[in-house]
Amino acid sequence: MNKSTLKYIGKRLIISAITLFVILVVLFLMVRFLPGSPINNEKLSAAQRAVIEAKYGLDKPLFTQFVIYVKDMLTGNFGVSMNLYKDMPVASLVGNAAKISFLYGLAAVIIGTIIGMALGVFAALHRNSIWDTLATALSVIGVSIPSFVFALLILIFFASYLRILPTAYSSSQPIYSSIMPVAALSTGVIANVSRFTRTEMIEVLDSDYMILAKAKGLDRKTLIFSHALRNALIPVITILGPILVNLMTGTMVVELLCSVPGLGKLLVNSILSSDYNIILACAFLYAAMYIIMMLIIDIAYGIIDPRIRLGKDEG
Amino acid sequence: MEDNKFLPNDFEFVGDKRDITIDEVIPTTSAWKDALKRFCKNKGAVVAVILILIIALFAIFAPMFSEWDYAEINTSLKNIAPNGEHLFGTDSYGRDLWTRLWFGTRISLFVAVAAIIIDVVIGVTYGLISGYFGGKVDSVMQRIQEIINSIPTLVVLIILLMFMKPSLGTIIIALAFTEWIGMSRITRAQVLKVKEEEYVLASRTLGAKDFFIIFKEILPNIYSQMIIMVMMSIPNAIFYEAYLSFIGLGLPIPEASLGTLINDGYKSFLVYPYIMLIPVAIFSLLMLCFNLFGDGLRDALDPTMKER
Repeated sequence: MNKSTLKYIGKRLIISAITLFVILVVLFLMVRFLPGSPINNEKLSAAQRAVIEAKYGLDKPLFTQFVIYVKDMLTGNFGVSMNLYKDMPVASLVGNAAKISFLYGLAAVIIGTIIGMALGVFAALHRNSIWDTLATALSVIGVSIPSFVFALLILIFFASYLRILPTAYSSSQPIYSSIMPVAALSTGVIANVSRFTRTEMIEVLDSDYMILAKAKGLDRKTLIFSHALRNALIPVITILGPILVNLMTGTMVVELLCSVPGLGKLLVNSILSSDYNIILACAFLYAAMYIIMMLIIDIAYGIIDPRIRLGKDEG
Repeated sequence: MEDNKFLPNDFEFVGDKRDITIDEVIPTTSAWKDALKRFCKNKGAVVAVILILIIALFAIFAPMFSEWDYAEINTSLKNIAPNGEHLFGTDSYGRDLWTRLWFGTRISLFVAVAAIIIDVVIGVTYGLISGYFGGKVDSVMQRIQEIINSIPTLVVLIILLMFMKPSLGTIIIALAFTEWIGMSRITRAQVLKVKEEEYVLASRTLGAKDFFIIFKEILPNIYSQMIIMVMMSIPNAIFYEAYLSFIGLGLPIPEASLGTLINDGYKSFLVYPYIMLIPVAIFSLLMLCFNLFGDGLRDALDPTMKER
């Protein structure tokens, strides 16, 4: 790594850190000014209300509240749940939920990328045949239609009609009950990856060095596996960003549909019961994951192909 | 050397055929006509446009000619399966689903189009100013945009809608607020490219003011990118609207949109699957058609970007 690469990484790190801080401030303010209060029991008297507010530190000035929150956060303390799960520490609630969501996301990305690449390469090798048309049509459908529609269809067909998959998550059968949400989530990944792989693969197959390799008399297997595939698959990194973002959006509804106790479900439930601390922690975690993902992809791509970086700095 | 003999099929010609070009005098046509011709060649996109038009026509006219009202509750007509009188049946409140479906489609389309119009106005203005004036203005505007852009759309949408009570207006505002960034990025990139062209320099040399250059020289040359971006944003807006309804931050009762209809249907899909399946089908069809239409437009308006 040369000096300019390090400088670039440093610059990206600083921008990401500032962004994260700004997001934290904005989220904190917005969550505090939201209509509805976590203490919404009408039977409480003013005095009782004051006691509860003092307990959660809501009576202090806003700035002090923020400083306390950030200080606690740095030590891994995200406060306690106010009314959804009475007084449970948010860090463990969010941590447990995030673990499930994260595993689902990871499974969907891995399965989706493998199937997607295979499909894309297959379509490119059989260009303009019926298989190519079929694969392209499938990927257009997969790109256009959001994952929750697939989740609903799988739910209706496999869970309610054929009754071979469970309709809801059960912690006693974590793998069995994760088939449906992971399948629904990976459809988008498969479609995106296969569409992109096909385009890249065709471009590589048409390139001059492939013609040279063919003229050298290499057999088809070497040609495809060690010359074409390697060059076609590197750019797939570029679309991992949008794919992961789609996945994060997708998990929320798929989790709701399949009753998976993940991050998305926790966030939606905490919004419905205005549980400040959980909303804040979940939203912040989403934003942080998003920023870190973008950072990793940018840096990885900056190292693989420095031209991208230059283009970005100018434009 | 003697025993090495070349057979006729030892070598094959590579790259020969594709180098042959046939010279041909093509009559001049306008850019629009060219684009239209290229677009019409793409059968998928043409079918998509026709389907979108049909769905839009039904969304506009079907509720008008229906004898039922989309919000009228009639508990004596609960959960009727599709029949001649209620084409798509009724829901658990006895509301006619044929009317509700088209009314909901109308609202979904309206929300999407309205949000995109606002977002084009904001995004194009922002991108034009940032790209055209450059320098300090540009870098400040870019930093602001970078920060807004790095908050996931969903988090922004959820917080905005918790802040402002969900209604037709607030959903449109929230969607416009999250969608304008893509628009302004494309605009800025295009402006940066176009403003260095010779014809802009020529215009400037002739004494044209910034205002004239922006509206007469730059905008007409970047419109195709904007149209592509708009067509790509519409399915996004429809999706997010449905999505928000699904997580309970959508339109209030008794309004209908594709999202709320799917959500209502989901509550009883085990018993009455048709309540959910019909809006899901229309929703998926719309998403698919808008995507195909967008792809077709991109290939037609900007052939250099065509995917092979």
